Amino acid sequence: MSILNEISQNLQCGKAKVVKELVQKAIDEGISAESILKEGLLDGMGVIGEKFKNDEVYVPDVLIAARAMSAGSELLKPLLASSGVKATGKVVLGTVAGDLHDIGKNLVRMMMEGKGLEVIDLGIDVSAERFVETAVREDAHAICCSALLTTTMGEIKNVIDAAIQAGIRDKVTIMIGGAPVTDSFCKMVGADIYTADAASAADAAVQVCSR
Amino acid sequence: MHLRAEVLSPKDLQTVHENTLALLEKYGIRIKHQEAKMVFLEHGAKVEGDHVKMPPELVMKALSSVPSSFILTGRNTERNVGIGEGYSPVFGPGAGAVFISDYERGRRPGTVQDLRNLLALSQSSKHIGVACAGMIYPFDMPVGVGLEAAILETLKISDKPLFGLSQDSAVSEICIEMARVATEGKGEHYVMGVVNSLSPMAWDDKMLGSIMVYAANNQPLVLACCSMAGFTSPTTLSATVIQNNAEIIAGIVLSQLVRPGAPVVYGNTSTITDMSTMNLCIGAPEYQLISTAASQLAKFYKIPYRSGGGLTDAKALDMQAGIEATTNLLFSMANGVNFVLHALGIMESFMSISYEKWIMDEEIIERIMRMTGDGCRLLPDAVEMIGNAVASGSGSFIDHDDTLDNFRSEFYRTPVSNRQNWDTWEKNGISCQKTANGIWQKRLKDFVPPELPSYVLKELEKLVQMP
Repeated sequence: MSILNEISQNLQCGKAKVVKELVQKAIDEGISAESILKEGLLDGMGVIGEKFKNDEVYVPDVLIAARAMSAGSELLKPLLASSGVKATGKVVLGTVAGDLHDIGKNLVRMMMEGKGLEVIDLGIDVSAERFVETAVREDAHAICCSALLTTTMGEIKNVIDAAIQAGIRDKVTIMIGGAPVTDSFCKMVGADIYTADAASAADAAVQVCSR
Repeated sequence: MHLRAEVLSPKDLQTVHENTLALLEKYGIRIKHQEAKMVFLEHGAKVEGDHVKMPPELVMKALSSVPSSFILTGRNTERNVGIGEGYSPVFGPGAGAVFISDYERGRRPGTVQDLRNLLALSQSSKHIGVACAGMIYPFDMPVGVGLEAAILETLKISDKPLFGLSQDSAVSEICIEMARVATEGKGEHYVMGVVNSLSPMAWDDKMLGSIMVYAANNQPLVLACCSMAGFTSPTTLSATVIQNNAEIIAGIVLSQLVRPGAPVVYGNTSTITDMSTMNLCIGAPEYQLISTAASQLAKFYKIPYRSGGGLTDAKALDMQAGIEATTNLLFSMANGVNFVLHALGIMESFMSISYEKWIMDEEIIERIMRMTGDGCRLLPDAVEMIGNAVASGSGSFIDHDDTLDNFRSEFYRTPVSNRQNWDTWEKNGISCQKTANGIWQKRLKDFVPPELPSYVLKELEKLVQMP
């Protein structure tokens, strides 16, 4: 079995430590960072993603695979940057102002990272301005807002308004999610994409970034 | 979780038993069948015209020779099932239906292809223990070959123990012979039949013939009744239980007089009558009162017990179907049943089998098994586990070892019931019927029938061609 194949296999089993060691070994053997990422890490995540869609594996399995992916890609980041390889895409993620819930948002982050996206996670209680400032500074493809409460989901509208004010509304896709959020709410406030769960959020983000 | 349903106190049980003996002794059971009458007469029963009156000693002696359990052998002995004391309940599919229904084609008369499909679903069901030849009546079977051909289909498509046919002595004979050929001497008991009393207080000639043939061949037989309280048995449920007990016991006594030790199963699917239509109500809650009492009686006599499964009077796969199938399966499993007929698919007061309900009933059984299975297992290190997980700061248990190691076994995953949120559900156009339809279609597509040796098939085909 080639080392890249081994990375993929171990990643599918969620063996973060082994994946990290193998990635280091591959780097030492002189394999390019881009090959390690694409043929090792992302290949494994692709298999897991497909199995997840077919109900063969579940969220915890995807999560530990994503964690193994992160462990491996940490080592690759500096190499990728220096060789000019860009991440699949970049998104800004956070829970809106006044809302302290982060478990679902973290799930979204891990799923997105598993797809090879660079996620700038602003955490919880994130103001509309901070979402927009970060998106401008990082030249992000998307702003992803999470809201768990009916009392905070209105904040999403503020993020959109801030994006309009900053003049980036046509450049950045605004994705929203969270238990009370719906597709019709998405249309009502003028956001771009609503997704019902973490896995579909990651899929949608990849699509946005590859446009 | 331990579920133990009981409706009769030990004292009530004794009273029902004594009343049953008195009923059989004083009033007897109506039997016209000459040979059966002779058997009773030879063993000390009084025969007055068509009434056979049996002394308590005769009844008790006969009941004492019934085995409390037995093994039913399949073509494939790995699929043998134990029925009775010490074994888990064995499930059989819906049976005796005239119509079939599915999501795409609706309700229609059954065909040979439907029988084949149901046999494939039964063979591939991890819950069904037997191959049932009489699930659906195939209307397109050529006249005159019907029943043997259905048995042959069953033996071709399934290698599970045969739940055969027993409509009369001739059918019983051929069915037993075919099962004997198919199982090639791998076991003592290789086919089980079912007969029904003619309530109130009678057995008809055909059923008596089948009882005698099955007993003579030492093959297991379910002796059941399906009286309609308020119509063919008393309205007062306790009196229905006494009448039913007398009917079933009369049949069991005959089997033991023909051959002491012949395996039998005590069955009951009696229920109430709808007083505005006079229809049978198999989905009624009273069914479980009667069935639970019957189960207690069977245990009192140390005889394996059979009850109904996902019984419902619903015409559509609606909430009525769900309520009735679930309560009936739940109480059947709680009353200590040994064999469940009609576990899957049955609808419309036994008139039809639905492919989708079959799949849904499997889920109901799995849900009940989850509830009544291992229960809540204790961990040796729960304190440390919770403490460490919370302290580790990930903020959730989703990626904790306790989840990764246990979620598959600890959480039952419903194949049909939907747990998505509104938008996803709506977008995908999901319904339980549609999901269940997809499941059975896939099961049929993936189905590979078990091997049947060609010399066995040849022997069987000869039997089917018999006039």
